[in-house]
Amino acid sequence: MALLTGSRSVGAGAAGTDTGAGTAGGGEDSAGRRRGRIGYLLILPGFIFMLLFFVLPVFSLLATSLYVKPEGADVGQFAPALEFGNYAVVLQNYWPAIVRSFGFALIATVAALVIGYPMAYLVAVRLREHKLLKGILLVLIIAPFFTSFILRTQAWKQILADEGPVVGVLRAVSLLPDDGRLTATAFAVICGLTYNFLPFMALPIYASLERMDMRLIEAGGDLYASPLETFRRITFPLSLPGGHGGHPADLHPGHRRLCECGPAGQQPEHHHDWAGHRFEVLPGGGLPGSVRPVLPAHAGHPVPGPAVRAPLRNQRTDVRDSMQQTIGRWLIPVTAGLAFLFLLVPIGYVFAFSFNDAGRTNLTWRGFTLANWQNPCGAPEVCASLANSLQIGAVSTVLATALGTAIAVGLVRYRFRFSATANMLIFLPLATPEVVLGASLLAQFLNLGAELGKGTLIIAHTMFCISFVVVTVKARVASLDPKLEEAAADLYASPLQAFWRVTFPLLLPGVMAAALLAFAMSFDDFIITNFNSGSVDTFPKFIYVAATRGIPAQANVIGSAMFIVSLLVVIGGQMISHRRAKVLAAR
Amino acid sequence: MAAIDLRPEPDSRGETSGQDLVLSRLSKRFTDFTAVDGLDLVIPSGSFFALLGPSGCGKTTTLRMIAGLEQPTSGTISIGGRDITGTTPHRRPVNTVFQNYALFPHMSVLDNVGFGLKRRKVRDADAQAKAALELVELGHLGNRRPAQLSGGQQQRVALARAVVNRPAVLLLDEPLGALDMKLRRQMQTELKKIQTEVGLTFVHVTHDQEEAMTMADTVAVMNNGRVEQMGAPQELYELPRTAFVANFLGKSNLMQADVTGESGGYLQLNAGGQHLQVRLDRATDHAGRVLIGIRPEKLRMLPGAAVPPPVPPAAPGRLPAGGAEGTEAALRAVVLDASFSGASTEYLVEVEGIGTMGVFSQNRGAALAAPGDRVSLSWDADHAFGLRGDEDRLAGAGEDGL
Repeated sequence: MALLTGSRSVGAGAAGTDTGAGTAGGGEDSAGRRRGRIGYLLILPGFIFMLLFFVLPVFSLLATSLYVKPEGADVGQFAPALEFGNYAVVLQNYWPAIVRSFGFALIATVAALVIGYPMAYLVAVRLREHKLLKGILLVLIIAPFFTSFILRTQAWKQILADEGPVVGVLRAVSLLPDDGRLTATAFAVICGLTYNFLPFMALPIYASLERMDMRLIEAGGDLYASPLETFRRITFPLSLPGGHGGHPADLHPGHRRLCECGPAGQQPEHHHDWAGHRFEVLPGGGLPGSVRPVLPAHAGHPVPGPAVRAPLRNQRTDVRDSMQQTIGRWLIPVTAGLAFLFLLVPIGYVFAFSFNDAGRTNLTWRGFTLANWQNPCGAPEVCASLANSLQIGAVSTVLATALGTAIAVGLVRYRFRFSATANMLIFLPLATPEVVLGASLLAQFLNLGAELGKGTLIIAHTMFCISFVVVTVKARVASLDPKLEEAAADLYASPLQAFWRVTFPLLLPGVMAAALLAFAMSFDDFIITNFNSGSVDTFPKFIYVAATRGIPAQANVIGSAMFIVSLLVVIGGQMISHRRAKVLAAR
Repeated sequence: MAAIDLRPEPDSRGETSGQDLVLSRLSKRFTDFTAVDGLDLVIPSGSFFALLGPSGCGKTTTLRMIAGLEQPTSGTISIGGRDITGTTPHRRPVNTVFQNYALFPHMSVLDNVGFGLKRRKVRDADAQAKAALELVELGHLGNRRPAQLSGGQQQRVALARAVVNRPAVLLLDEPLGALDMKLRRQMQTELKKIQTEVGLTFVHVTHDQEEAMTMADTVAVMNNGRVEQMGAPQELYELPRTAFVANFLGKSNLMQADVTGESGGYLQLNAGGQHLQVRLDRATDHAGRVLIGIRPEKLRMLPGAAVPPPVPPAAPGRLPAGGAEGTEAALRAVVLDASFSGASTEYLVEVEGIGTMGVFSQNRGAALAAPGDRVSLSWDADHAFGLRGDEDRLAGAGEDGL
């Protein structure tokens, strides 16, 4: 209790503080943040955790990358050194893969932009008034996250398989030679990458467009710009901050290519590199944010001539304008519709094949049956791995939410000398390739002599989930009016009471959202899990391993069930808030 | 937790003698500027006190220091003789009505109003809360959430939430700022009524000088962290002591003049060749360069360059414009602009030797003059006031005093 009141009652003992230096406790800076020990208390646990399980491992990996392997040493033994030549060796040996990584990522980014923009535009601009429909479509954009990404990727592999419908059609119309294939090609890899990037691209663009003032478009028309010109010169440049925001985030999940190359692309290359670790494909993420698509960005167009003359209207311009309008009116819904279809096809595939009377391999359709749904645990290990995933997810979520919320409140509400560094530290895991995170953690655990299993998995999952939680809760804390806590203090609530009765209830929606996000991230994680699980099977890992010999239909059942449940939960939440908004509006 | 130490609450008559709020050499310095600079203020208990000033003058900072939401750099705050400078806000007998109300969005209106009572473990909190809601005429809205109320209703809930705790001092931080004109006027009357009814000390912070003068018993005009002048609204208005107060409260015509002498209790002045007078006890300085001020509504404007009938001979030579002891004499002027606003018309005139002056003329039917007309201007010398000559003639003019 004394600690909690510390920040406010530092002056309680000393009446009439006359320091003249503004350091009497509880002073605020212009951003309304307080100083005080309680701030440090809040962020310390989380930061210690991050230090131990992120900073240390990654920097240790960095250091090891400069070590050399002495003569006759065992695998995994190195001598400390500053051998920058290691990097030269890597570049020399692996440059084709590196270039390929960059190339694929670039193409996929552009593809995701082209496909994702209409989606975002449709929901943010065209459907601005239809709150419920908008909500549902937004959920559908995020929906793929709720199905195991392994399952989705597997679905793509089957959809694009040689015996599948797509290849069949393409061969029939001669777009593909008779012995042509789609899987194990660059096309398939890029397809898969684009698919996974899509939500990351669409959501920031949606956020930008959503905030845009529609009157700017009206002003464009008022100033003689045709619909196409208005889009090119006003709408698109203004939505670019989101377009840019899509890129770095896109390239972050680029290392998920690790998996793409497995089922849908080339076979993973196994290397024993200088570090003695077995990497499957080089991590390629972390492309600098300066990579931009080559797209026009006309921010402003000089007004021609001293006097602005309205473009002359004649029959030709009328026809052109009405053509543009019609095209514009239909182009967006059609392309957006196709994009949504692209997004949902693999999920539909997974769902459909959950009813397949498949036996051990669920690759071809054999017949409709409800048996899988009636007995989802029929195949061995499916439910066991699911139970592990749920267990690990639950514990990691609780830990990450607690630590992350404390950090978020501390960072927003309290002032520190190193807050800039702290903020960056929180974002670093999000920008670090998962392969790096996984491998460095594995190295750390091995060095500590820890046994790989559920414990290490929980630690690993908590580590990368904290960042998600902090980002989510920070937004919520920042939007909280600090005057509410002042009002509580003004009305005789002690700091603890003020937190419990005012701050926490108002933070709860954000904390819940963060928890949900953390659970989704943890459940769906494959790469980091694969490094640190030892012999423990999680659901995604089980599916990946099973892919080689045949994924049982029960896995499809589980995947579909999780998707449907999550969908219902989110849509339910939307409808509740929709209804509440209606009640409020009808005072 | 120790019980909140509140003095015995005032009864409905407001007998709270001894609960004066005293600010002594209060200062608040931030790293780059000083918000409050050595403030000395005594706010008598039971009064309606207004802290008036433009944005950035330090009035809100002062309020927050009284509430305990800011710590002063130096100085003390005491209520009824008890020093509360170091006390945490949740232990002070002070409640605040916040500018944007700060109602707890996740609680009902009734729970909002009863929040302070429940923290103080008052027995019949709900009943008292309900009574407070009745006081502000919102008894039927207890179950609603703040988001379901209009701005005016929210404001009243915020008031009820503060008043129900019967604090020694109730602070209001520009509570009427977010309301529209009509509602604001209504709330001004209501606030005054409630204050009289409950007898609490109200400290009202505002930048609206009209609001301050209407509602308050005492007004303190703040500028740059200091109180420039304090007193009853009428006193401040009729006899400002600084150019800032003269221009911030209402409008003033301030003219530079040199003292030429004294006669019969009046200071004799020369302003651009014109002979003016001001009473000695209404002038801050009695020698050298001064500023002489006269309010626009005190000016009499007559059409034409007519010279008014001669006054009983009291002094030889030309009659001064500000005639002694109620006599009047005229200055010649040309109308530059006329601005009709219904009940009155504001004229801008150019007076020879002095410059532009504003004249406020009540609408008695016909317009007095049109732009370009020649007029004569006169006023009662007892209405003039004198200020220090080195002050900025335009200080406080054009600030958001509305």
